[in-house]
Amino acid sequence: MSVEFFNYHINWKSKAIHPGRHKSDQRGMGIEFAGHSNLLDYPDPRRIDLRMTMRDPMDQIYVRIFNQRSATPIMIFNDLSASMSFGQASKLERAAEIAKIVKNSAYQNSDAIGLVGFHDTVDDDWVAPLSYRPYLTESLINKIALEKNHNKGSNGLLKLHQYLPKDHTLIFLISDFHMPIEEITVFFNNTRKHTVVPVILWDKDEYSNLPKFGITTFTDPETFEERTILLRKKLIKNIITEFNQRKNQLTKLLNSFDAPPFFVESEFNPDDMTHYFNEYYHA
Amino acid sequence: MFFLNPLFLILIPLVFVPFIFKVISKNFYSWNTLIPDDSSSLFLSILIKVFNSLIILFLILYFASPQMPQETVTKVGVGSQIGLVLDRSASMDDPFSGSTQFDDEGVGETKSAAAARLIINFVESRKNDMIGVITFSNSAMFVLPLTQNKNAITGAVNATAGNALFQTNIGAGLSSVSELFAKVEDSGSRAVILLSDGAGRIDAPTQQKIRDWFDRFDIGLYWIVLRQPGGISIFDENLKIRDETQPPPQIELFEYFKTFRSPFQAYEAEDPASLEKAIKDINLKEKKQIFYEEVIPGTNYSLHLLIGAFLMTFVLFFLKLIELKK
Repeated sequence: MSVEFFNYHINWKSKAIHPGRHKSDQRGMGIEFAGHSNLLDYPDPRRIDLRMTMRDPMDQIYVRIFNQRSATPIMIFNDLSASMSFGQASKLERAAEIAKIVKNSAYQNSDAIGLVGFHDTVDDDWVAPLSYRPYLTESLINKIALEKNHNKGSNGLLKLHQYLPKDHTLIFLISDFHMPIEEITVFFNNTRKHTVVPVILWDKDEYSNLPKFGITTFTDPETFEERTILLRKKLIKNIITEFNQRKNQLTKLLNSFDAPPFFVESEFNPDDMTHYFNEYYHA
Repeated sequence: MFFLNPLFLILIPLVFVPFIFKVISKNFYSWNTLIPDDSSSLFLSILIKVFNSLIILFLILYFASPQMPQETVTKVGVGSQIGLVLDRSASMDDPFSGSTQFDDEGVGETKSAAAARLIINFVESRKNDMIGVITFSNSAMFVLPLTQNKNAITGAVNATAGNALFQTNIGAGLSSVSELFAKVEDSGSRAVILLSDGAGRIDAPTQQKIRDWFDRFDIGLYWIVLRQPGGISIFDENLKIRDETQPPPQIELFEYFKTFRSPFQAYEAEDPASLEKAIKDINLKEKKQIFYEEVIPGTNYSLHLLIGAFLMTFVLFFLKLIELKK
């Protein structure tokens, strides 16, 4: 099986020392010219700039200084709340698939990667700290699809910023975003110095693929609240309208935090993610 | 209103079960908040819960069996208060001459059977009569007080046939029958049908007592004599009495009944046909308007409750049919 991955890049300069593929302001063996320095100050005879040295009337010897390319931390926040169990192929399965592709891509770019799974709380065994060798992350990803958290909400979202490094991090927040707008706002306020890619998992069975007619009782997996509803043309139309409004609302909110949403309603296509980065994070 | 089995009412709190407990359908949705409010769905969900609750309530009430108290209604009808005085002396078990009905062995219908059959027909044809039954042979046997219950009357009349003695104590029968009317309100039409074969003698004090009571209670008397063919007829003008001091008992009784101030009518029957004619005649005569009280049993609402519960179950069943199984 070929390893699926997407290309991503960042539009800020990484501060990491670890060599990688992203622009950085660390001096080192790069090709990005940063300026000149005195050989005495920066004793690297391989980079002596003869032309600059000749031109200097003070007979100083000059050395060219370059910025290296550095790694950047990648963090996956995975929603494990009960609502993620929805669907024929559950959202958790798709979340696991996406997390795996993100991990592959990060590994491809030799970036550090970590993963935190959350529901109402953040359990210690669902935290994989940032690492360049993502074995722990990988083992957690394999566990995602097996999670069953009935009656668990997603309040852990508000504590996630505690697991972020000080450096500017690229965060993939994989969730259905079936949570109050206020919570989402608080999360984005907590992560203002980082860059978040909201991966929003929706399922067509939730709204547009509902049965045409019938009575059914929907149980909310997080609160166990029950609603008996008479599905019919009018109500289905209203539900679709409601979901579209929700989509608009989310898009507006996330755009205001410079984190354009990435909706996934069926299969996740890595190329779409590449396009997403080309569109919003051009270097 | 009261309950036949009030103990079941302690189950009434079960009515709240549909509102307290949840269905916990396995139909998990992702986020119910995203389903817009819908009045029809709301109505439907409340309807289902209310129906569930009502079905439980109705079934509990069905087992408790609510019952209205019985009522007594005064009605106006056509009929009489009739005391039947039936002879059950052994001679009544003889076959009736001129009988048209025979049993398997070719024996004709007995007098008592014919009398019972015809009287039952008579009872069935009457609408609002109150009828009491006295039988007698050597003494009177109190069988049934005045009642409107036709089943009871039919049973009592059927019970007259059977082993008996060869004595005909009419006096005891008649004094007992007047007893029937003593405790019952006068409906305006009272009669006694005395059915006997042959006759017996009544001593003078009893005669006086019977006459007094019949007068006091204003009871008309119909006497049906089942006569042997060729026997002495009470209507025979030319009958020669051999002994003036001791006439045959029939004649003596007939003369005695004639002295009643209350209406008296005698019939003679030689065969079932003439007996039927006599009874029809009485039937025609005793058609006066009477007031009588009818006891109406209180309505029992169990069946209504069961039907109500069934109908609601049917509605829920229909809703179940269009339920989605996702």
